[in-house]
Amino acid sequence: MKVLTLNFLTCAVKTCKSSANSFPLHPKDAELVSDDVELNPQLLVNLLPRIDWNALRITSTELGFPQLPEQPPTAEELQSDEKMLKDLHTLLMETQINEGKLVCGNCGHEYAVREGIANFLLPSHLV
Amino acid sequence: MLPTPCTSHVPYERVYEPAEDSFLLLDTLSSASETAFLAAHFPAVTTTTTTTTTTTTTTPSPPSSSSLSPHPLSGTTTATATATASRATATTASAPLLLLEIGPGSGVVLAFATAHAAALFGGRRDVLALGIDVNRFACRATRETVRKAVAASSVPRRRKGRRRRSGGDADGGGSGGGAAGGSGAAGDEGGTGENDDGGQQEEEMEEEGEGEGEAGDTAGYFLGVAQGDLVGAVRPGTVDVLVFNPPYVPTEEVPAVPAAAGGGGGGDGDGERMRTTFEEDSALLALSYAGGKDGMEVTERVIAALPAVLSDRGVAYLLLCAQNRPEEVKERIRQMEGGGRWRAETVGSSGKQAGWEKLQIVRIWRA
Ligand SMILES: [Zn+2]
Repeated sequence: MKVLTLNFLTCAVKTCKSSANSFPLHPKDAELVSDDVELNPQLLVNLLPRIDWNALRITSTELGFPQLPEQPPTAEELQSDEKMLKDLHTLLMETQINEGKLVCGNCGHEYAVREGIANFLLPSHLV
Repeated sequence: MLPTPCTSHVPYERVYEPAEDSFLLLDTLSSASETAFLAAHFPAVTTTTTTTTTTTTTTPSPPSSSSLSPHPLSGTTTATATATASRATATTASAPLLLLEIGPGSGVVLAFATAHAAALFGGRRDVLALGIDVNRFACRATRETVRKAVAASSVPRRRKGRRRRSGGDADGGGSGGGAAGGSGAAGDEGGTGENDDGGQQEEEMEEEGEGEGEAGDTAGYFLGVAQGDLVGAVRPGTVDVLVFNPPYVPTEEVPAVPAAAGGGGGGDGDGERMRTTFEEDSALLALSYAGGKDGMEVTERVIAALPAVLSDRGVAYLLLCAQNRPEEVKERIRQMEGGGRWRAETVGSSGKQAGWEKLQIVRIWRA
């Protein structure tokens, strides 16, 4: 599962939906693998407006990737910033979470990730 | 015809085998009318022309009281107002599309849409594809199906592209990189395929292929597959294209969604273990077809979630069978919250049964 996916997922527990703490889920004991993906600068630039930047910053830091700036770069800034393009590409498009857990910051539930597949099925007491 | 993804690795004893419904989805998504709709609905760039009238008032700052002005005129304040009407054309690049298939099963539809993203979405390759299935074996199968289809789309397509280019494209060699190359590929895909008309000059186009992306010039980006119950774990407002081939067969009841391992439910059915019993396999398959009352119990849950889960531009493709009472379903969707903006239209169908279309694909979106 690409790290970018974390920007589109949230805790599956109903009562967590209204809590800001349920997003993003926090990787724990994550084993990462990396794919070789061709860098597409335009894709990353276009991705900016639809990414929750703050969530991405948290994810990046928690996975031990370079600290991202507090404010998202503008399209122009990103286009001309080769290093940030490369960093974002590596983090979002190439890195996959293979094993570990995704933890909800609200209810504390841990979703297991095995063989690259996160399991969002809930134990029966949380459904 | 776009090639159908290979699913030879899928364990059909516990994962739904591609059938008429799956193929109807493939045919509908790649039909001329639907690709035209998607290209228009998700333009790669939007151009907005705005006419603005700007009134600029220039007022020279008056001399400060402390300074003596030797010139009487310098004390005079002149204000110049200039009204300028200007037409500005702004182009905004569209954000990449998030494509989610719920219950991909074998993965044949998700793999098709991912591998042929450019052909389906008006030349766009910026399609981020995600699958969510309740069945762990289906998750594994889907991942493999997508991986194979994306790999297959790159190599043979290049050869095909070369062959077609030698057929003498109007704007010969117009297959350069970027968006133009993408839409060209989309157009080509609509073409006739192998037995192209005669009169082609044989031409080696080796050089042309260079410089193009290695990972297939038509494929989107595969985010991965997660195991889960429908859209429960999807962040609201994110999905641009949702595809759902639901369990639509009317049954006495809908089988319970397996509980996660380690929970109170014992976790037997969630497929974390590699070995399953015959009963467990049957239960997994039942999840893929058993739809409860009118075959609509699971589908209704997804329809109810659409306003929350779809982005503002989001489009859903939903498969229904005749027993689901599709006309009533569509009418209910049109009445959903959102000020009468919801649209639901049949955009593909197959198999007549007593004068009714046996299966149909309904496209759901906001006008
Ligand atoms: Zn939670």
